[in-house]
Amino acid sequence: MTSGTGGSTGSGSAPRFARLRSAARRLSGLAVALVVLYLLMTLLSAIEAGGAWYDVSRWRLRPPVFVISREAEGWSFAEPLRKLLGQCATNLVLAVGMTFVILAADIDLSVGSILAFGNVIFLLSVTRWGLGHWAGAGLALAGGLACGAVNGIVTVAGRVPALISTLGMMMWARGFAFALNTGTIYCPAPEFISMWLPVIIAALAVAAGGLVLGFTHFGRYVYAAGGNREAARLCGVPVRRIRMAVFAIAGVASSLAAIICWARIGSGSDRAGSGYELQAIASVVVGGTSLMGGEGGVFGTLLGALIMGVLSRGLDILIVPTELQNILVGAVIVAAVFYDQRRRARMEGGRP
Amino acid sequence: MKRIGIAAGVIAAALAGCGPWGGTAKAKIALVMKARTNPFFDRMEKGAKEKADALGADLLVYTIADERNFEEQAQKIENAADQGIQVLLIAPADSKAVVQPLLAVQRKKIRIINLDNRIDADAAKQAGLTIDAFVGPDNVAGAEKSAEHLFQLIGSEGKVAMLEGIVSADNARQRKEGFEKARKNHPKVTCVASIEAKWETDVAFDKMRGILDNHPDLAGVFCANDNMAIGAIQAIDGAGKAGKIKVTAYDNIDAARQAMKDGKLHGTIEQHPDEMGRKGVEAAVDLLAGKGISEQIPVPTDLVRPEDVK
Repeated sequence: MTSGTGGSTGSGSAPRFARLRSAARRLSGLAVALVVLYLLMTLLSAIEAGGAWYDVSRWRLRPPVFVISREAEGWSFAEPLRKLLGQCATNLVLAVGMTFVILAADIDLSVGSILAFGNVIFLLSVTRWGLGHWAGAGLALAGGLACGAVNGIVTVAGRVPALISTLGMMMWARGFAFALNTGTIYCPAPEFISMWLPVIIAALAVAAGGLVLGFTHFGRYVYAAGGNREAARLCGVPVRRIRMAVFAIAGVASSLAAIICWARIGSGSDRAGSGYELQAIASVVVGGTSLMGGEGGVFGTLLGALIMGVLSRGLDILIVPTELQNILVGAVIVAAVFYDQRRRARMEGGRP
Repeated sequence: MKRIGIAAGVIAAALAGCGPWGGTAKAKIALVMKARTNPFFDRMEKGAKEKADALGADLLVYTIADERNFEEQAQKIENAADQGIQVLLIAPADSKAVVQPLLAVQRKKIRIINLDNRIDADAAKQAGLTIDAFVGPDNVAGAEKSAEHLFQLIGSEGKVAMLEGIVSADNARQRKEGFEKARKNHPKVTCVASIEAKWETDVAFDKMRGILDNHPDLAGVFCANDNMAIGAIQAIDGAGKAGKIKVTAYDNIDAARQAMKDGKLHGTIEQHPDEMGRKGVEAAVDLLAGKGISEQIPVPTDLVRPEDVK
């Protein structure tokens, strides 16, 4: 993967910057939505109802510190923000991997299960197999890569629809995790690791994903393979290899998420990450990446995952019951895609 | 841009009318539980709310959507700790997975009271986590009551079996212990099988079928929870022995009450989750008032018989 200038789509830097500009235009709406949501949540969390919640005359407002929290003292901006980012981290890393898959017009339902597999491998390596944290992480990443590679081979070489092949892996990977160990493995993470590792891994994953998609031949091929598979193939894009690669990337991302998961709760089990695949897909889609492939990117996914995270933390702080939260989040996902579709149609129609 | 302006305007306008910010003198307590879809926790919440209202304390309740998702509970714990609370009541989704998330709560000088499922003592000790009190059922005594009732029903003699929960779980071990304790008073009762059925209905069904194949003259079975009893009853029905083999269990869920009305289950144990919630809130308020509280606060268990549900 080189990042040299001049790819198959043209030469010089002009087209690249044009692409960045159009991406920025596409993402500005999302960014505004994120900022508005964040400010709304900070505002709501700063209101304290003196009496019953509907008694507006007795509402009081805490001095403005722009964080989503309800603590009366001990204010800092960094700590609640770190918590928020930490809570987004697992989903964000899964979603970055998922972005590659969806851009290539495929889908991966197995990322939550691969997370569980990686989680169990990592924790057993450290607690039982005596391999230490680094080797354990390496082994978990290798496990994720292997699962992703199998997804790719079955889907591309075996011509099994991705929905089915990754559904199979969803069951296998969790099954492997279960076979290796049932029950919870306790392995506390040091305080610094539990606080910062999730944020660091997530930041690196977003940066790496953005660079690869935006500045390499490989990245361009992913867009091409998803945009129009047949045309890309005729232009000499190695579509089959690209599709296999995106599944492998999603597998590795899932293992990274598994390590985040450990850092956050200091334990792991074969039940980790259940249902996370749909959350990741939702973040990608809210982030403006088309399920048809070929359109979108990692920074949209970053915004999408942050929107989901702000919503989740904010609603928690406002003590909205979990069941109601799910209803709201579902509505936000559908509304985001609805709005995005209309905006896109408008933009395309208005273009000279 | 325009929208940011509007939002900023709204905030500025709201701030203009901003009153003094001060903590209220009320005790502020958070209760983090498992899923509300489980009626057990629904009742725990009701009890806790009742007591909080009576004592004039603020109670914030958190539940999770998926009982197996420990990261979700960790997130609820993290967010509850930012509510300016003084005490956290926690009913752990897993006895080990909550330890590290609770450490961060402890660092914020929030007191912690453990409800229902006991936090793993070794893990807590290793991590340096201090739990102020444990409010939970006496599983040994409860299981002993249920098993004792079973042995009396079969006339204190014959073959019995037990279906156990996940053997690594504390409460599964304690219920097994209660069963063994009850057996000491009935020398003519022989236990022909004691098998792990993992708390699950379908696993219990399979295991029970196996037991019935080997011991067609079985007189009774004790199941460590109601879900397993439902599976065992299906297996007994399938073998055409409905009503002939006595079954007692633990938990008093709705399905168990129905099974008792149908005459297929002969007893179960009520753990009073509402009482757990009440005692938890009471302990939290006492703790904040500087009163000494007991480290172990047992919640009584009661035997529920078919005649009690009619």
